[in-house]
Amino acid sequence: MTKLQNLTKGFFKENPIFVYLLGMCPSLAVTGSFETALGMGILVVFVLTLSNVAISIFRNLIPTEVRTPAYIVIIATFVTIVQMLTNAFALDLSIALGVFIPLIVVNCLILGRAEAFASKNSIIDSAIDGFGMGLGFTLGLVVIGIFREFLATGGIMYGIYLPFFVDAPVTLFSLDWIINLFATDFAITDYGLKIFTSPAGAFMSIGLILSFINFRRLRKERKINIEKQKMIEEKKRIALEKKKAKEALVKAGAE
Amino acid sequence: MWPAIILIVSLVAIYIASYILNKRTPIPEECREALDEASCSACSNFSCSHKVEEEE
Amino acid sequence: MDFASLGAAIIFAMLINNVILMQFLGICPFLGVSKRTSSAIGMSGAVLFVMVIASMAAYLIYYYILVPYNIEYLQIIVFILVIASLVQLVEMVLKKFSKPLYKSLGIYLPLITTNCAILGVAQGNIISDFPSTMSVGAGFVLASVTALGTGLGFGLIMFAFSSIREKLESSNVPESWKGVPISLVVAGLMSIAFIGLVGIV
Repeated sequence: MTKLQNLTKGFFKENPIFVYLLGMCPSLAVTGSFETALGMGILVVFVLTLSNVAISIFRNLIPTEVRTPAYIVIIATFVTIVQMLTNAFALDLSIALGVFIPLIVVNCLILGRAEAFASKNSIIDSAIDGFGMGLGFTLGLVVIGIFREFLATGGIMYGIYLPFFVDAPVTLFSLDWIINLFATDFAITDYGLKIFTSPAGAFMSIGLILSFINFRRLRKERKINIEKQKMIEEKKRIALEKKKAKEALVKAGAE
Repeated sequence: MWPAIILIVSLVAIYIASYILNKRTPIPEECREALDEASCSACSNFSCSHKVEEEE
Repeated sequence: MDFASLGAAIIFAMLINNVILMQFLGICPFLGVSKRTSSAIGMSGAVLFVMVIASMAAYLIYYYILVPYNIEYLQIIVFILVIASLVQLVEMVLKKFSKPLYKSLGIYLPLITTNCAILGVAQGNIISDFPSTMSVGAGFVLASVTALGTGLGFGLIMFAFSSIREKLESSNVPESWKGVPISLVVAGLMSIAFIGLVGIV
């Protein structure tokens, strides 16, 4: 596996949320808006990369018998560091995520990568793997977050929880201006599907997205199957024609 | 400073001791079937001790 | 602290602020171990047991060791270590002394170390900051009662969901919705039903 493949495998092919269903608790709880999803993703990227590097450094020092305890202590240390950093630089995000920042410790994704990858591979590979998997997790969270926030409010906001690069909250995208071409005094937020901000909407939107992914995968498989069938039939036909031609030749020779 | 170090070291020692003790306690024979029956396939928990046993 | 407020705390933790449907804690076992009713009950029993003991231990350690020495920043590491060693100890004791109990509950114990519901309740008890309005001892009672109610709520939802899922297995679901997607939609519908309970306490 090349380094690039190692980095990008977590994006689609081995996406932690949509393919392995790892870390479902945060992906349901913090995806009420695009920003909280992005913030959580960034924190997970930090913790996953750092813990993978640390575990890879110590992989030959840790006795196999106490592997899991050692991993848990290392991960908990990095989560504590990340929680303090969030409190210092993005207090609103820390309040919005609440108990889910400490809960990064028990995220199956991080312990899983430690066990499956970092304990067997070199430091650089582990760092790349952690970063790529973290980005894949972030991608999943952001997709769910955009889906839910767009359905609930009709637009995407930035700058409320993550006060970086902007002075005041800005609307990244909204349906308002399209509709205002035809009608005046229209606010899309009055027509949002508020259920998608509630817990019920969280379950349903992930169910919808997963079923869509399944649908795409099944259609692809069916197409491949049909093509295979066609190829087999084509081969049969060619073989049959050859046979007939041979028979005709034999007949002609006999005559 | 010192209370923190003492606390963490003692807790880690307790955890590792209980972990090793638990691993050395054999699973009762008649419970093995129940272990196989419990559907572990849908669960992606990497810290589960049953999973480690399967590997070895 | 009177009896009525404890009852209200149990009802609140069990039904209104339900651990799975409202707080999204413990989704892994909710989706993973709910294929059969028997395993769902075993899992919930194990969670209830560990949750109560772990919350008590975490509360005591936080207010009698971490706060006096001003080392509250260690709470994540301390809590996860307490829960993990507790799980190991309970599993070992069950293996050794009670085979029937190990058979029904014990086999689900290893899954509990990384169950976010346990750590989430322990952390939630600290975030609620009970000693700001009552004595530390009364807060301890309230924290353990909250843990008890949360565990009962977890069991209730696990049992209901696994029963629905057993029926769902024999029903005609579109190919792309089979498995987890339809389960999540069922959970969403259950969550809508539980929104109706908001305000009874």
